[in-house]
Amino acid sequence: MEPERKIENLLRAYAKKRRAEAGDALKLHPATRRLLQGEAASTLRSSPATEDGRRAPRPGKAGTPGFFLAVFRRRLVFALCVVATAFIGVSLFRPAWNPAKKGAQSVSAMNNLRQTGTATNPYAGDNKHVLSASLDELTNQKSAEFVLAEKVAPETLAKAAPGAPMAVATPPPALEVAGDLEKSNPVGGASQPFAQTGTVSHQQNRYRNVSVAAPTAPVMQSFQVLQNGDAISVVDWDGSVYQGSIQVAAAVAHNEPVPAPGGAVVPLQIHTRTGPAALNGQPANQYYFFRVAGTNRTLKQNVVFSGNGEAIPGASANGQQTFEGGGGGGSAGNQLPQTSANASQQNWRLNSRIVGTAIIDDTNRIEINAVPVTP
Amino acid sequence: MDTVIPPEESELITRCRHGEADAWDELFDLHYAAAGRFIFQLASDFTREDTEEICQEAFLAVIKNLDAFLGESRFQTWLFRIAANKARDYREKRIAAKRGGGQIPVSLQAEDPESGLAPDPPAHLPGPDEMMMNAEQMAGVRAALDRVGEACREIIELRYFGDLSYEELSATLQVNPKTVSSRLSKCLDRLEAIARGIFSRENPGVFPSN
Repeated sequence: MEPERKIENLLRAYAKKRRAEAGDALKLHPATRRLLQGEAASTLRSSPATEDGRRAPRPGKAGTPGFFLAVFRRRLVFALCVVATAFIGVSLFRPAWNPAKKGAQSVSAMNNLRQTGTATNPYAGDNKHVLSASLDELTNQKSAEFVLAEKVAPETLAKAAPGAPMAVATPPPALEVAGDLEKSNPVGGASQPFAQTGTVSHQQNRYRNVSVAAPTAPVMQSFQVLQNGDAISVVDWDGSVYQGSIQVAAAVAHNEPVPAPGGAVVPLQIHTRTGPAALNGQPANQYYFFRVAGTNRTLKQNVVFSGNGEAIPGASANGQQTFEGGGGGGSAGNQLPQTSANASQQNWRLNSRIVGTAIIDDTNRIEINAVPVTP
Repeated sequence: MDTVIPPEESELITRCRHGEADAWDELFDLHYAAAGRFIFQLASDFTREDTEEICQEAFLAVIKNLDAFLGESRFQTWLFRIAANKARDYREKRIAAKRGGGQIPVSLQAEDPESGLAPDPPAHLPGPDEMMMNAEQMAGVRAALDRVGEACREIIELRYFGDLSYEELSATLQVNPKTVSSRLSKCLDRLEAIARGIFSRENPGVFPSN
């Protein structure tokens, strides 16, 4: 037997004291007795007893469904509220249940896939047409030589084992999703051309800014220009993509002077020159101007780049062009482009000097005088 | 759990359920005094009038809920649990009345316009002599019981004020007797800790550390 604890002694002392204070035992007062008897009679009269003396169960008494409903009513309501809240929350955040959000995310995902896929072609070209299977390696590439090309099937990237080399599909298959995407969720004009199938050709060239301020310029030190029809994309040295459109100014006369090279800003008007193509009896060159805009991923600021250059109608989209010089603001020294027989494709060759202005966040203006460089 | 109710008590309950007035009288006479004594211990400031009022409420509850008595414990144990709940409600109601102005303030200086005498309202607190004698200890124990929590308070009150055995507590709480023992021990530990804190502030010598 354990010794009694101090607290037990106190409790017993308290009980003893209170019992002593209570005095004589309580006796039921006759009035209270009548009250209780009356209550008993009325209670038992309202519900007669069964054989064992118990009264018949009424709705809401123990053992009946009504009893459980009454007892657990609050818990049931609470549980229903929790379930409803969870359902609403999931439906809001789960894209498959929200058509608008699903569409928006599909557009975003498609744009990302296109950019990633576009990057693979030239990247593979730089690697003997063998593409690294690491998607991270591709997407994290921050190089002035980083080039975007259009559409390599993302499934090809996804299926490749990590680290295993993968050949680039040529020509890249069209993205099947693109058609559906265009129907259901038309995207902005800047990205629309990239939703086209691979039947539309494109071309791309690399440029280097040779202006005096180029070495210190935060943007456009070197860049890549991709053209697809009237759409144009400029990929900055850090991988930022600016998108916009290109317009041909007008046909130029063959005997008019060439705009002065050397870094002078060429106005966005019709320019004239007597180029090699004219001398050889080829169609007269045209000048184009373009305007692209986008967010620089390094500066996290909006960049608007507008410029102009030479356009050659009827040139092959896939023709390769080699340029020399251009450094220090000298002559472009253009060679004749290797034209294709397919003259129906109205792409405009971006093979000339590009002169223009890049405006960063509407405040910082940077003069661009870019010349093509050899890949 | 087996029924521990004695046959005579079971028969009395059955007669009460059939509405026999004599059976009810017998039930009242058997348990009214014990219930009153138990209720009187549940608060240090309960008067006999308070106890009678609480006792009446408890028996009214018994009449209304006699069908809920399943005979798994003694009737008195069941009655004590009801009485403890009624006593708690009574105390809370009285505390709320004190806070919310449930008592009409009476000016001690104002004289009756007819008799010219100043009123002498009865104090609801015990007299000075009662408060002197072990008042601090008892108040401390009661204060500790009020803070120990509902579950612990119930088992302690039933054990020490209702004098229920472990078996009766086991039947009432529907737990194993060993569980009753361990639960009671834990509750006493808790109560002791609370009481030690109270006595150390008010009267350090009352509750020496073990």
